[in-house]
Amino acid sequence: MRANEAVYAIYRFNNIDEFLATESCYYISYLFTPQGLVSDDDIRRVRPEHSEESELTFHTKDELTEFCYRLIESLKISSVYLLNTTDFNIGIEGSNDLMSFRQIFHKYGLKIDLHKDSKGVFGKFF
Amino acid sequence: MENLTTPEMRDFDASCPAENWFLYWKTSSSLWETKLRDYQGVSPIIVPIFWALHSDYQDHFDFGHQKPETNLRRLAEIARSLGVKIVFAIPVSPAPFLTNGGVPSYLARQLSENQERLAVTVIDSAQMVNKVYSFYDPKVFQAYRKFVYQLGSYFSQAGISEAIYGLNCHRIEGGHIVSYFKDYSKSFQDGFARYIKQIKDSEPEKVQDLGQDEESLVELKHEYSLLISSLYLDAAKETLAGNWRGELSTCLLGGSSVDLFRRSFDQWDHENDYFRPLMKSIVHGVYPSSILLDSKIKSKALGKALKDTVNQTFVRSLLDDDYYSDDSSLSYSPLVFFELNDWGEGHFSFENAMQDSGLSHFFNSEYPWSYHISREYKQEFDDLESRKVFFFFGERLDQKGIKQILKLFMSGQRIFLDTHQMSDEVASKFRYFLVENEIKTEQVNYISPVMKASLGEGLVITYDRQRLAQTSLLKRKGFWQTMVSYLELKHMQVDQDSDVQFFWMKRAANSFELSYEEIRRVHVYNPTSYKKKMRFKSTAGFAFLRSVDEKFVEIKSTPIGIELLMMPGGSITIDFGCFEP
Repeated sequence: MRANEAVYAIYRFNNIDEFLATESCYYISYLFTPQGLVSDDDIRRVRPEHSEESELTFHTKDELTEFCYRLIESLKISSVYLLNTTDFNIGIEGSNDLMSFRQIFHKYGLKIDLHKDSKGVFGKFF
Repeated sequence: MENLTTPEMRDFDASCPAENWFLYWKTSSSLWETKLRDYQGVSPIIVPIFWALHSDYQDHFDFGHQKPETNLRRLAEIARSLGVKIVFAIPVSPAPFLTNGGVPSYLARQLSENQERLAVTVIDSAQMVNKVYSFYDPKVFQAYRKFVYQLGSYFSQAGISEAIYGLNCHRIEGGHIVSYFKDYSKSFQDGFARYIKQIKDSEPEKVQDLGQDEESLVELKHEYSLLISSLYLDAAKETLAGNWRGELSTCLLGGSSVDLFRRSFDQWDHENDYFRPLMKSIVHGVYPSSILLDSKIKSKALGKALKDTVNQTFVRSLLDDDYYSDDSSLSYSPLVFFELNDWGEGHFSFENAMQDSGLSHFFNSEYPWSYHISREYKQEFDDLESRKVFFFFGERLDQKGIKQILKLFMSGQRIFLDTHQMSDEVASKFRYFLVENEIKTEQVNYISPVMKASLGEGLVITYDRQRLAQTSLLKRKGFWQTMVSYLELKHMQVDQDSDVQFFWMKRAANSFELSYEEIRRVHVYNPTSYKKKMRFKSTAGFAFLRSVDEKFVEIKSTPIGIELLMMPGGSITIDFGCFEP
């Protein structure tokens, strides 16, 4: 991964499933940069407990956003574009070529970045 | 002097974007003759039928009455007059190289979704975004049935005698070959809910455990998916019975959801990423197609690999064309040491079984792509090759299955049998057979309980993949090295840098090569941007014959074997004669 490039994250919300006894959570399905998928090693720099088999799940949206901030700080990337699958699907309906496809993240996603005057990830929360 | 005028755009790629595919609507019908005459690839040419082109709006069908590009009779006549063999392919699943996956726009309502609930979308060879629409919408099926009925009537009235196949498109998603029919969208969920309601009355035992068991829910969804998919297949098969030749499964390279992102970034998209899917399709017996990839990415090693692998023999064997199979023994076909077979019904993941047992890792490191996966086991005993080693999975066997395996064993074949979740009935049938026939057995506990039974040349080795799965990958690899060493397979030892791709093929020796049992051909590619090395170690029973199609490669003979120095994008083909030392 190259410093100062953007990371794109597509997540979805899993509802409580009473049948299968699963809790509701946010779950990152795709995490990539223009160079390729974010490696498990890079994810472990932010989430040391992460393994190849484990999924990137979060109980709340705040946890998910915090993960993105930590990703920016640890990997020295410029920003994270966070987009849920529903919005991605809406975006895809209206895109017909590569140009419009690339715009989906910018148009429908939430851009997360650390401003220059920011005190880092904790400054965002405290 | 350089030509300063605007270069003329060649539209050959648009109508003939990959291998032997011809997209008749991508060019004017007045150019069909020229295009087909100029075609120099493998035969037959596959002509997919574009439903949406023939049906612009509801209950309206055009087969040459309005648009000349819809005149399939004319296309067939042109091909016949040129002596070019074509076969038609009617999609029985969404076909993502077609706009809306092939569904007419008046029916494109619900996007198909993958397991992650992401709209199934691909980037096609013209860099356009193609969205795939759900085939689970009842309106889509009703319209499809009408269309294939009209198509069938048209074929018979127009006297089109060319063969037609049901085209089932797949992609490789997370290492698994997945049909584009697979869908998790609302249309699927609604249909599945209706299905559950229906079977609650007819087969209540099927749904009673549904709430507690995720596996049975997945199984039931799979069953429903197969049911709907068979409706499409049957509709096409019945109405096109006169021309019908069966189902053709194809795997579209670059068609997965990760490929969608990969292909939208130039820095990420690299030809090296398509080698694994290509080889995987071949070992799974699924027709690989680069129809979604643009010509630029196929201009180097990948393009050569496609030509080498999707060759005449391969195409004809997949299309099951007996007329051409006479000389197949003198044509190159993939080298297969291991034949992995399924016997049961419903879903079975070869990938998971191979991962758990460590077979995937073992094959990748020692016998890359020299295996074949067969979903429907059918063995002609006359065709048996003694070199092949069979793998069967106990959980997928019934009484009939184990009987077939024992027949194979009695005919001198070598078999590995995974006893994981094998039913008691099948296990006792196997044991009784060994006792009744006083067959010599040896038992050891080596990571997994292993039992070896032999009779003449016949050999059965049993193991439990669950026990193997509990150990490290290294130990599992060691297990398979030990087991396979018993079989004394004749194979060249190779040693290569990472990302060097290669694929073995073989053919029978011809009358000028009588000192050899067979000829082994290896295609080697360096799809990376770096120099790479590969070494073929001198192995008893192999003689270097020739190297062909050398491109950006230095070949050197050393006392320990043959060494290749491959430049970026380099490729080479080497033939070895195989003899009894």
